[in-house]
Amino acid sequence: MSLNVVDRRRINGPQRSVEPVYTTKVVDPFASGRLDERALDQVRPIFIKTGPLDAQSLSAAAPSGSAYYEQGKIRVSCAIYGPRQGRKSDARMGSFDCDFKYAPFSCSWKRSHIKTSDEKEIALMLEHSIAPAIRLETYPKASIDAFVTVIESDGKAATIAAAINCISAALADAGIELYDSVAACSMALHGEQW
Amino acid sequence: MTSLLLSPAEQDYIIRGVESGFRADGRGSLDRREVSLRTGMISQANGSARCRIGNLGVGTDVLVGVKAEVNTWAPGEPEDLGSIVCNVECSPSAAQEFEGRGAEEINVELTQLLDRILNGPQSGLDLKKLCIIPKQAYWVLHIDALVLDVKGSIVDTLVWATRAALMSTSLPRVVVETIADEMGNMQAEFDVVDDPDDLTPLEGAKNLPISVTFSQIGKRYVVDASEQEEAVTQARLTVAVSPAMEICAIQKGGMFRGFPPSLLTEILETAQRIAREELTKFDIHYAQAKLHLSSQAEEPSTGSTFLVQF
Repeated sequence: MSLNVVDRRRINGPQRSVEPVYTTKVVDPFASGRLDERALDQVRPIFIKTGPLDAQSLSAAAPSGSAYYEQGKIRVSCAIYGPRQGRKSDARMGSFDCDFKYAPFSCSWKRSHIKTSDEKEIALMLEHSIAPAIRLETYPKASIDAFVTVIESDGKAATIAAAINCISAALADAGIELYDSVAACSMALHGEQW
Repeated sequence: MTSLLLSPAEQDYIIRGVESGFRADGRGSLDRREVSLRTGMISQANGSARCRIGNLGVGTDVLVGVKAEVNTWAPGEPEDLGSIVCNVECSPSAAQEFEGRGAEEINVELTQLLDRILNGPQSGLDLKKLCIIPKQAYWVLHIDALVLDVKGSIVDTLVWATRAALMSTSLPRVVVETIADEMGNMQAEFDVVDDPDDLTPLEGAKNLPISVTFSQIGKRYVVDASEQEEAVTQARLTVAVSPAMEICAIQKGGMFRGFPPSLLTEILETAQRIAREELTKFDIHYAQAKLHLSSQAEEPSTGSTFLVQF
């Protein structure tokens, strides 16, 4: 990202700063089984809590549904706003929009406050994965918006899978009509092994 | 990906046609439209190509330019690799909705898809050869694609044009010398040769993947959907296959349906089969494009040749 544009809304740090380069030897993650001693096809333990993170928020502006999802070190939270008035007043089907953002402190290097194209693409990916499961034809002229914030991330593909699971839980909490809930999992190919 | 308004009768016609094995323009369900490919028309770029896929001279039109720049190494970057930076922009001349910020979403999607296909060992490009001096300087290839017209099947046209542009890319020769400085330490310095005829072609461009996009319409799927077919497509799968028949990237699009796993496996196998034919077709078109380029020396070089020759 070029930093010619100065962000005037925030107190800016130095123009350019980089992640520190560590001189310790890099560990091969698969040298002797997985680092956290899981089986090859074992997922990290999952914790899901639906309902507002702050149990006292009952204002009218509160989201219709929300969920908090933890899987190992991954922490994702999602808020669903909707069905609310959509942008097109003549649409026969509702629209589903996703907003995805990493918190600046969520990854091993600092992330920008401004949404990068990476995050925009993941938002599109989430939309394409979950929209088929929503009964959008029962929400004409309305839009359902999901806002996903990654509080802590541990592996890009696994975080995206966690976001999908989190959105499914939040949609169920919001009472949106669904054909089914969407579940996701990530896999990686190491040599010849999955 | 642009929204064409079709009446329910037209939509029904297309869906039922596809389900019975017919397409509005008479193609088979796995046939691609005509391809026009031209390379090397942008003299300022290290490599360029323009690809149009469509019938009767009208179709999805993508122009790709490759420019190479030398970048200084910074700590934290890989020590002995060059890099590739992709950018795709849909021009407002392609569709009204691309005006202003309307094209933002589709630009991001196409940029990231192209980046996923090209960045990494699956692309076949040897990034090590793009390194000039380890921990000091390397080539960055800026691949900029401009989508000039959209008539369905934008991803395939984009990948065809990018592949042709990279295959026609040639970098200036670099001379590396090691000189001893005052303290006797060996310093490496490089010099880019300024001769416009002293060029080395990009290594490994022949290994680049090619993409095939399958659109699900009703109960069947078709390859290379036209504009009308895209308007009734419920789900889309783009598969990028390399000449070594390895699947390099898969992207699912479409908000209305998912793919059952059995259909997914069938599509992936079909993709490999089609990719083999597509790569042969590509080589023929590319050879013709190069032949055309060499014969351009006799023709007057006015601005109109860009449009007329295409």
